[in-house]
Amino acid sequence: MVFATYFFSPYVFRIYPIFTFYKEYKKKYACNFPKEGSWSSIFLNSHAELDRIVSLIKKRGYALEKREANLLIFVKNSFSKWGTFIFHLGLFLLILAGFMALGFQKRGYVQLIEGDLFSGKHTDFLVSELGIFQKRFDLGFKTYLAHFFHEYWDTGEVKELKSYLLLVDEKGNRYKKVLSVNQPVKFQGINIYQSMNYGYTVSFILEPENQEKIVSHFMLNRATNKPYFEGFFDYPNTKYFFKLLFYPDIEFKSLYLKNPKLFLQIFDGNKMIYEGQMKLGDIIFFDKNRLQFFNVSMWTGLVFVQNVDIYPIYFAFLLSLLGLLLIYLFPYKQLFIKIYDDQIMLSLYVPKFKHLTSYELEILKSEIECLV
Amino acid sequence: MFGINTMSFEIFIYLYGITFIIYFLSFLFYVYNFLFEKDKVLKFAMLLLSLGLIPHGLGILIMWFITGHGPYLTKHEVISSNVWLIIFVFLFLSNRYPGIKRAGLIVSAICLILMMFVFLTTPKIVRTSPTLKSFWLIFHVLFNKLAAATIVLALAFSVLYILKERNEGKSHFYKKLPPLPVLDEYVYRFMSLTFVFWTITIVAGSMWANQAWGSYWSWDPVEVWSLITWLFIGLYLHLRHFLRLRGKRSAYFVILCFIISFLTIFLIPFVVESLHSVYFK
Repeated sequence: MVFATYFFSPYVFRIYPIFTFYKEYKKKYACNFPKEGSWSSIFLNSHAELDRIVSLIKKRGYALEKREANLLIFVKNSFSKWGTFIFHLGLFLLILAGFMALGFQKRGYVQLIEGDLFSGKHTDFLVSELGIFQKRFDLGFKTYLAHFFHEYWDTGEVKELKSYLLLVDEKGNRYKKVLSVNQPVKFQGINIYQSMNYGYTVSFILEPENQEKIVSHFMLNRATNKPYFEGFFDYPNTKYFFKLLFYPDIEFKSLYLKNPKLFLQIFDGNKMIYEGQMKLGDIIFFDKNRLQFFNVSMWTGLVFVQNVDIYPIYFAFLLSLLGLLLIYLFPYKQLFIKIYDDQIMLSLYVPKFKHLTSYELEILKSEIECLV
Repeated sequence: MFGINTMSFEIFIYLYGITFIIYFLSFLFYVYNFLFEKDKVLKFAMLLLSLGLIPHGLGILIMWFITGHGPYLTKHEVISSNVWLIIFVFLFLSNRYPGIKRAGLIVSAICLILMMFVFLTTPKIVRTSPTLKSFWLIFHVLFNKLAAATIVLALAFSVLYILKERNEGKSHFYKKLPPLPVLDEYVYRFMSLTFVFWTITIVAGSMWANQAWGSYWSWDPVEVWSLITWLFIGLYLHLRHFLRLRGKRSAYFVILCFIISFLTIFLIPFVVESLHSVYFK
């Protein structure tokens, strides 16, 4: 607050009304003779022909705007006048696109196990985010995860993640698509993105005494910088909690499935009732239950997005960048040459960086003097 | 460390040592020029600063070779490459605007401090995540580094402006500096460049985020801080244009913008948990 008060207090009562600014702006860019204070001027003695001076200045990128007997007016980067407007138009469009997204965007996240089919129905998303004017997000096609590919650097960091998908439309047509990070797939107006969430799924069959079998799949997450995957779950329709730690390759501690081993702890409430290791296919007994570790597969997260079309946003980004470049890298300049009997006056008007561009006058002066 | 080439790594350490010594000598020449008003020394300072870029650049290239990616992941890589670019931009622009040479005193001091941070951090080998395999990465990273370089230059001129205003006529160093309105305009020039570069950084990052995650903006802490920095720089430019913010007030405002940008580039990604922090391990 103190800082803001310090800076703004002298200016609070000086804010220009917008129309005053417009007048100022118009006045600034009107092609009149230099007004005192806004210009850098320089005098030189030269008897060079006017046409030669004109061609010299034109070579420096200036265009002749007005020519009278003793007055020449040149302009450079005249399109730069539009820079401020273009930049703010770009920003306005971006904000508009943001509001459009807020109102109409549809996003949904699912976690699929290899061999699993996602119905594409709104209710089957794990998480969905809808714009305020949207009520449902139904894809209109089914997604089948055929295979998930994962690759690592020598440091154990993820190098590549790929999902091999089979998309089935409402007519039953099938389309094979390969999805990877940074390479989304577009299908029926919906973008599908590869999530960085992935891991191994371990599957169990639990047979409680005198009851039906309960099949469950647990999606494990990779432990940070460790060669194993882990998770803590409650086993559906039972009172048990499973703490799992899964090594895809216990021997070489690699992340590829080669010699898997599962470390399992089973809890009944807070009390641990079983602790042990399991290999694929192993069966254990605990608390009058039979538990079989019967399958290992991969799971991955997929993001489905239906968004405002990308092209208006690209256009808005480009507009704002173009505007900035026009404002700051191609500044508007007006050069006046007034010819007196024995002298020439060069005046340069720049709306910005007056001191830094005044050297241009010195260069012009020396060049014009050399013309004779 | 996995797969590290020990010999290359040793060369890299030597090169960084040499770089630090050269930058330090350059800084000493600038200080000498400041204290004893010897203009000839300025040339040596500039020359040393230019020479320092060679071992420094080689060091960055060796690390690039070892890690297999550009200098944008670890603290060590980010700060070191930013220092290289700050000095390069300063030297490049001092050819165009000879008046800025004396700002080397501040630029070399800032770079020395940053290089000390580089020495305090251990170089690590971090491999690139698949998210980083994007065309937009080049623009996002390069323009962010350029923005860091130009805002450091804006800061240097703001500091020089304040010093010159306080000590006008007291020493030869200040007399040799460009006049106050010119210094003020340099600040404006570099801030405008920072705004352009920062905008491109945000735009490229946003495009990239959409390509990778399907969302242009996620309100991630680094994104938010980047937006705050951009808004502050934009505010500076508007205050200057419409409300004639000039001189000392302008200089102080630029220092504030620098502090915010410094937090955004060098602190937030490494301290706060965010989507970006995955990459700045």
